[in-house]
Amino acid sequence: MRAILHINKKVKTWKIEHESQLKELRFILQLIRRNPLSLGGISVLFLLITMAIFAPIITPYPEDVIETHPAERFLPPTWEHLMGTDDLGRDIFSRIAFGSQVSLRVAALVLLFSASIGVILGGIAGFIGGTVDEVIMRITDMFLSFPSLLLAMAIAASLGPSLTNAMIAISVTWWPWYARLVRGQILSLREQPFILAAKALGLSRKRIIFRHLLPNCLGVVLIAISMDAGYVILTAAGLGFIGLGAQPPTPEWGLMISTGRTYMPRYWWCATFPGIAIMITVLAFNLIGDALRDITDPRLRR
Amino acid sequence: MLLVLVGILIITFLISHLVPSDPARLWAGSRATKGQLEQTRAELGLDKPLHVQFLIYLFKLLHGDLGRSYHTRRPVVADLLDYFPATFELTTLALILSIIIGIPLGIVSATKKDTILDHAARIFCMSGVSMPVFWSGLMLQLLFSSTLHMFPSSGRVDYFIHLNNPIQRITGMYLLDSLITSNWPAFLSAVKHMLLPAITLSYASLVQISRITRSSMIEVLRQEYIRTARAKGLPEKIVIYKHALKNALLPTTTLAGLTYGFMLGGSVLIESIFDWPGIGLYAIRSALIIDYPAIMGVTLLFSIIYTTVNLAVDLLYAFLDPRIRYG
Repeated sequence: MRAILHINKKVKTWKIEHESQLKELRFILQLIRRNPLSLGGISVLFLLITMAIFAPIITPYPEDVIETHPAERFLPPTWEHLMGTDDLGRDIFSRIAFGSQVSLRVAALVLLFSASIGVILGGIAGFIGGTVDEVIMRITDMFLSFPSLLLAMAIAASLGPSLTNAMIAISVTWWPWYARLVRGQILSLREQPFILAAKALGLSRKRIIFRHLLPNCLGVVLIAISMDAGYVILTAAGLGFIGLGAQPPTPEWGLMISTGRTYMPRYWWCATFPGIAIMITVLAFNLIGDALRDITDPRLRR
Repeated sequence: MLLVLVGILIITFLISHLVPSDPARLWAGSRATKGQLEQTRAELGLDKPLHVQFLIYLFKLLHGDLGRSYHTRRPVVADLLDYFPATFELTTLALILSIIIGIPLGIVSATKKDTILDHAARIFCMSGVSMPVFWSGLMLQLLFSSTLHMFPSSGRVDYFIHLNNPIQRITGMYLLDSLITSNWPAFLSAVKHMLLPAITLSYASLVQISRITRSSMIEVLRQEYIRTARAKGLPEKIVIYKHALKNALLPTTTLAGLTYGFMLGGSVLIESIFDWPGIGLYAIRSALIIDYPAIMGVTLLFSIIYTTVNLAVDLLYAFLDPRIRYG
């Protein structure tokens, strides 16, 4: 009993201490509820993650990721094979389900990698300023002056086609956006009274950066990540399609479309269903990102 | 600007020279002996240290020489000049299409904010950007070429045009050339061939233009002078199209520039689907066989266009908005 009371008290003080954040959270939840499309996006994303995790259990032919069945080539969609079979007799639905693992993993790793580089370099540029800032920003300018798909293509081609290299290539083209974002954020935060207060209290530089500046950038970065996830998946699929990304027999959606394309229009299901999978995934991310942008844009808030 | 260009050069050079594969083998062929390989390496200047290679590359570049493609064995500059007009034609038409469709969609979304219409427009644009272009291209082909036989699925004109009404090469852009020489059968055929790829490309980038138009329109519609205009009793049409739109279109201009860059990237995939003989197809071919001079040439060309377009947009922006002045 006393323990419960104690926890209760703790919760109460926590609530009081974090009142402004809670209010903000409640407000955001309310805004999300007002935007039914974003709710749809969140549920679809949730379903996708479930599918990726439980792919071996929910798919009818989990062995078809690698195994081929030459006798069952190009079977049209039926109840037995929901989305038909491909040129090697593999069940397309099963491969698509496993493909969600590939796509989500690519998105997560690329975004994690490029956001970390971007946050570190952007943070350094914004906090130190001067020549360091100038140099880092000019480098990001250079990277940003390429159309990103083309740069990723050139890098992937040079490194040699593979999924890992494609991921490296996409990350290299992506980090400058985060560096720029974080730098801008830090520059405006630096002038805020609470940083002045922190300095006046005699806090160390390290503490100011890690405890006060960076945590306040995190929100912006997270929103950017949620908006970029769709593009990253599209770029990875594009590289796979060209032949510079995942290699067979990886069940990657872009690669599946590329193989299926050869058999269009007769065996249309080979290329059609993986594309629908990409579209649904990217659409879910984009709807979430779009809603987040609306929520954080003070001009659209009223 | 100049600094960025030098940076672009360095990056493209590094990408193609710090890699594990051997261009000499490509040039000499897989059956070349060791001696032949050494000789090719010397011929291509690959035996020299990296910074010397870069300086040679820079020197040649200043004389308009981008090297020879390993694959076509022609100067890369000649290849680029051959292929670029096709890409330029396609991306420009696509950009015009996105502007024509995107801005009205954005206006409707803004004036009917949070209604069914707004949501429908959002879903429509969002699906466009969520589809991989290479897939939506395939689907359009499936529907309009294979099933309905309305549009051809690949190439720039029908092959018999080359026999009966050959297009005189002036700019290399078929639409423009056939228009100038009033070669109507060729013009019609070119339009038919271009429509599907252009629609695919523009649908993918519609979202940016319509979303930015929507949000800036919403912002403008809240301002005092709009209230004044309405209070004066002006018809809603005039308030929206004459008073609000003019100011709301400023951010859209910037975005059109960015969109163009996005389209250049997208054209790579589109051209592969529609067998469009442009830079994109050339780029994919060179990337797959690691044809360095060609890859470097394409990357350089695209990034220069991209940078120039963005600069032009910045200048245009200053011209449109008198509050912005570059010192």
